[in-house]
Amino acid sequence: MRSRTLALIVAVVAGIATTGPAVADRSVQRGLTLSADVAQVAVTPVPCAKQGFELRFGNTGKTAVYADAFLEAATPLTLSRSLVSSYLPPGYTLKVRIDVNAPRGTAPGKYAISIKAGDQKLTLPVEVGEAPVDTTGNLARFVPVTASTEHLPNYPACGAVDGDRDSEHWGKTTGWNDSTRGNFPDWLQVTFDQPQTVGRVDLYTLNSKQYPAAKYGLKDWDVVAQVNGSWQAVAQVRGNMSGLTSSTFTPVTATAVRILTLASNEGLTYSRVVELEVYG
Amino acid sequence: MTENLRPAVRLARRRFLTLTGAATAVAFGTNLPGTAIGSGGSGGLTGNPFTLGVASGDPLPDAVVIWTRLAPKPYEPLGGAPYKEVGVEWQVATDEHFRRVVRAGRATARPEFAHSVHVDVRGLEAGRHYWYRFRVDGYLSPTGRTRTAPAPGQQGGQLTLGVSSCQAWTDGYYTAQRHLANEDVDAVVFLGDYIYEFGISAAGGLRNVTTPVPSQFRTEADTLDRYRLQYALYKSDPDLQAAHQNAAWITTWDDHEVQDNYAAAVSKSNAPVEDFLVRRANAYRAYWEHLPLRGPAPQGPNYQLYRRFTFGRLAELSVLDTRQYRSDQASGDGWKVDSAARRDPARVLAGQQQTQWYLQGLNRSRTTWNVLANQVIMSRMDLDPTPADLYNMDAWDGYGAEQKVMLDGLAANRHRNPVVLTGDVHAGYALEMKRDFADPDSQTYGVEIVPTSFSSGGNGVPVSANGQKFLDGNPHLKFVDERRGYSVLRFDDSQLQVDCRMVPYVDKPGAPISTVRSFVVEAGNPGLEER
Repeated sequence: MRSRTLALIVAVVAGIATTGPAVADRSVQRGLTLSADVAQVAVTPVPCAKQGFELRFGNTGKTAVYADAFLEAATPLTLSRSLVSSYLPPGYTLKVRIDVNAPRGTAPGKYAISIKAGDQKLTLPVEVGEAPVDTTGNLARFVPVTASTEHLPNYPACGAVDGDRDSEHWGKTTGWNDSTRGNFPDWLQVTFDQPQTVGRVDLYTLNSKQYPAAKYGLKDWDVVAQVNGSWQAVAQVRGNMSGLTSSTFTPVTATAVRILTLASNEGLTYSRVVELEVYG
Repeated sequence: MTENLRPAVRLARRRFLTLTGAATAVAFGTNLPGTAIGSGGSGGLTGNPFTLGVASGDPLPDAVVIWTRLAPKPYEPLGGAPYKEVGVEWQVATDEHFRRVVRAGRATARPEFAHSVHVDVRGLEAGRHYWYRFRVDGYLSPTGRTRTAPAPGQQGGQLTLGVSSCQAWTDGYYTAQRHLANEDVDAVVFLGDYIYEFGISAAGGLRNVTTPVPSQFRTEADTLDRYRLQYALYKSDPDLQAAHQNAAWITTWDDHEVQDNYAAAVSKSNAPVEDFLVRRANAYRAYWEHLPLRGPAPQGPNYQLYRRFTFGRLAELSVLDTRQYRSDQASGDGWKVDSAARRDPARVLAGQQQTQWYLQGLNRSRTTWNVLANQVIMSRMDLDPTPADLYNMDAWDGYGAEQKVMLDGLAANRHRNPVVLTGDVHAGYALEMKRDFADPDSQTYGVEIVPTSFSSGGNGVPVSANGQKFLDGNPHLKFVDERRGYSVLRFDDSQLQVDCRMVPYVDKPGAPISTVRSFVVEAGNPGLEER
């Protein structure tokens, strides 16, 4: 009996040692369960793609435990978490959203995510599809976006380049709101994979029935472009009262475009951008 | 022959090192902090594990807790430490060079506790400084300074406390903590919001960092691994580490260590109680792991954090927890007019058990000063300067019945010189606690000092529009300054001096600190005298 138990532990240790951290000194937890809400994760290889799965991490034992689930994805996939640790009361199943992303240029095909907890292991298949191509000339689509701050989770920077210009969707991750109330300037930036000719920037600030631009939208901002490694202002908007403002300027070859927000019509509160579009 | 003897000799020597401080001091003294010597030990660490600094806390007359956490790569899973137990040696000395080591031993850092080390060092002398450090695998930690409380019954003397709260990492640099590290305080009292649970953008908020904050910080903290990451980021800050290194901290939590404005088992998003209690268990555990608190660690969603410290006959410090036991905020939270719900006697903030514990202790106290470390404003605070009222449903004003029990209890102990310390609001306030807040001529029985936030709120301003409304609507409010900083409180038998220390900005490092206002409270004569 004793030798069988030992053999089992050794086998489990050997199985885990190749990917997860070494567990040589630790007894293996039992009674844990691992599952996912989908049989396969579909991944589109662009920044900001919202995709992934819900990890279900359970404890079927009779006593509460603190447990760890280690997640690993095949290169070049990235996971929002590679470790989920939690208190798990008896009979409880924790549900955790795991985002799965792949950089542009990832070869379409089959990949896998492996998850381990105690003596349990789950392999979740991943299908990487083709990257979408923008056909409107909007250079801000499908490129990395960053911001000075983001009011997470409902107002991410990604919401400002998701193709959704509709202010009525405000608050549902389709627009960007900074998280530093009362502090200006803030900024929102798209970074191109290669230098692009840029001559026009369309900015859709918040302008819904409930939150009209004249009361809640951006009032003042600068359009700044990164040209040969240095930032230069290419357009200024002052006293804006409308939902859409288009800035045209002498075209520059830019590696990134940044909106430097200076004031809101609401006063010292937030910067709000529903959509940012950049054209040649 | 020699070969055969070696294991036994090694064993004997290890035992000797563990048990005798003097020998350990020699072994410790040969290398610099954060550097490795020799061929390394058995911990399996892949780099300097002391990236989160050292700390001490909860001083008693004969004991203090010393803390560190092994995290060679603090933003990686498990802090980059191996998934196994690691032995850590520790020393406590009466001098910073460790010539006289008075206590030493070996502790175990376990992955279940994020490889944190909490040693409750006992058998120390009262009212004196000690220095401490850790060693593992040839890596030596920075040296921390701490101080035990004076002996029970010790008459006279002085007590100096640095007090602050609310240190949102994304709201600015820890310049105030750096200045606090240079103050000669006996202890630091931290009033809550040590971390904020929110996801952090690549630019790190107002810090606008050039090295992007890693992507694993984008999501809000909810699970234990994620709360640990948040602490790792905060505690990586060298200015915060310096403040911990200089003095023992006595901490309590407010809401953001779990979730914005949660109330007991009620989450902001009204998540199922079963789920929120798991989140609370994860948050409480991570809090314990990262602060110099005594064991045992929280197991599950409940943890008694309220506790009391005595500094001779000079001062007693009671530390409250006004989140874990409170009723849900009235009228949907926020700033609201008076209502029956606000005054409902069934609704509690500290909870009956904690309130009784506090007031019974106060009634029995034999110290000159009686200090309360509290989270939310306890005095009346009316945001409407007209005759109408507007109260914060998250503060004591939102729990009118229990507020009255507490204030009556403080008033009955006017001769025990109550001093309430409060966090939460990201503002420096000084208030006189009145028998009738509507009547400026009524008796003052205590003072409430709100020492502003370390960083939350960003640069701030001396007095905002709301700050002016508070001044206009609350004659017992004697001071407002909404910049960042801390207060230094100096107690002796005859008076308490309060220095309100502020920095002009935190969006860039290096701001100078200055005392923007000083008050004196005379023992036996509650009230604020400006100095």
